[in-house]
Amino acid sequence: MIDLASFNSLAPGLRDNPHPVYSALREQAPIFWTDTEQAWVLLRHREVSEAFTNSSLLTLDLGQFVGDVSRALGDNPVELLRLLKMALFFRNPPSHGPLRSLVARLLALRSQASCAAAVQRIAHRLIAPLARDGGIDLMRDYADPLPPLFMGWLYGLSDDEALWLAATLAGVPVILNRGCSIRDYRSANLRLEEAHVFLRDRLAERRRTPADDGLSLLLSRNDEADQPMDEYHLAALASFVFMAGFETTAALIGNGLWLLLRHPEHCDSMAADPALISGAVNEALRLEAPIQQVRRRAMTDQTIADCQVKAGQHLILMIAAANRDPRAYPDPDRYLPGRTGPSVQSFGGGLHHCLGGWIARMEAEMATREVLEGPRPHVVLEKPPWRPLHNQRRMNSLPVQI
Amino acid sequence: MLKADVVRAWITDFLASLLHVDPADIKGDSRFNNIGLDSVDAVVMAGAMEEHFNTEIDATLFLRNSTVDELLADLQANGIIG
Repeated sequence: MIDLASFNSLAPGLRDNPHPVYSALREQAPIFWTDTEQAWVLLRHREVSEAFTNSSLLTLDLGQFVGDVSRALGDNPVELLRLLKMALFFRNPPSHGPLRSLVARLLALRSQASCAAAVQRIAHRLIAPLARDGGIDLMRDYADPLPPLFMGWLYGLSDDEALWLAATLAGVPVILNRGCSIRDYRSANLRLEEAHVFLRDRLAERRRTPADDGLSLLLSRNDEADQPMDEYHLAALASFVFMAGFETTAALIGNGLWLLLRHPEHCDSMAADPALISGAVNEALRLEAPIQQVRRRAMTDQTIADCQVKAGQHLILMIAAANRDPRAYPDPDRYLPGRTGPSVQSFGGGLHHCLGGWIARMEAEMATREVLEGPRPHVVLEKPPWRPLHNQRRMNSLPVQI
Repeated sequence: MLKADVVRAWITDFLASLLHVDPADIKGDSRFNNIGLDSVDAVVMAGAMEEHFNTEIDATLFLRNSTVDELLADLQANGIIG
């Protein structure tokens, strides 16, 4: 039996492989309180999925947290706070709705078919060095640049601009992890200052000369809104969506390729029938969710699985554990593309269900398909080099050879 | 590498002034949440300690330990104090 009250998801032993501990805890109780994290912990699929759709559980405002920490230490990270104010997943009603519909409009600018065609062109070009040189780093040279190039296409940026923006913003998503330092906030703010100047300039260009692209659409839709944002906030919103579009999607592409390439039998069947690839992407989302946990705050007193949760208390929704609950997925640790079962919790649910989930799945499917169409690569590493983060499941590097 | 007793004294003083309590009331085994420390305070403490000792300390350490004794043991295990 593990002492539930002293459970802490930031424990060093839970970083690379938390699953044996999650598995034991999941059987001990459907929900439990931990003193060290001052939060309820939910690990089962049923409780996690119900919590996502429970409208009396609010999302936590990381912006407020970062603001409080920064003020106490004499800092004022203006651009970082602006970004967090635009981060949909930290907003609650009423500010959440208008922001979400603006982002939904942006993501729906092009048809799904033309998005898929754009991703295929990008993936086709990025994978070319594998056949030519006999090897490639599928993370750094493939999964990492693919989503920003797609987001750049959607926004109306050149490839160079999109890659520059991705490089400038790289490292900012680290601040989503609990346990970040004021150092991380400062460095994120510096990167954002640069990125936001660039985006304000691009928005100003579209203001002068509107084009048929995502940035122009943001401007015109914002102009029509009841309470339009100024261009500082609009630039921060563009920056947030760009980042949300590349960080976790790159993680998903890499995690999916890592899992698939280590199972040659599945590679063969999917190369023969690409319709099977969506099952592999879903299985990657399930086994290695790019975001491992999220937090909620109870707005009212309530009972969850016979426990009295009080208003104001925090809850940790352990996505990584819910996705491996044997009640939902038999033999849960096994990689089984195409398995049936309830929906994976990796995109959340309810009000905050990931708006770009369909794009992320589509990008990962296209990226996988392009790899399978060429000469078959083999993974060089024995173990995945996970980034040293508790909340984000993402590899640094995935070198492969033919 | 920092000295354990110096770091312990700094942490005790910092907590005492932050939480407006007598330093003598902050024992090695006092639980942070019982003396009123929240997660904002913990990350602030990490930042203040970094600046004071001019070193890099992962704020995770301050969030995954419940007492001064546990925190010091973790800092030691991570080679920050000797």
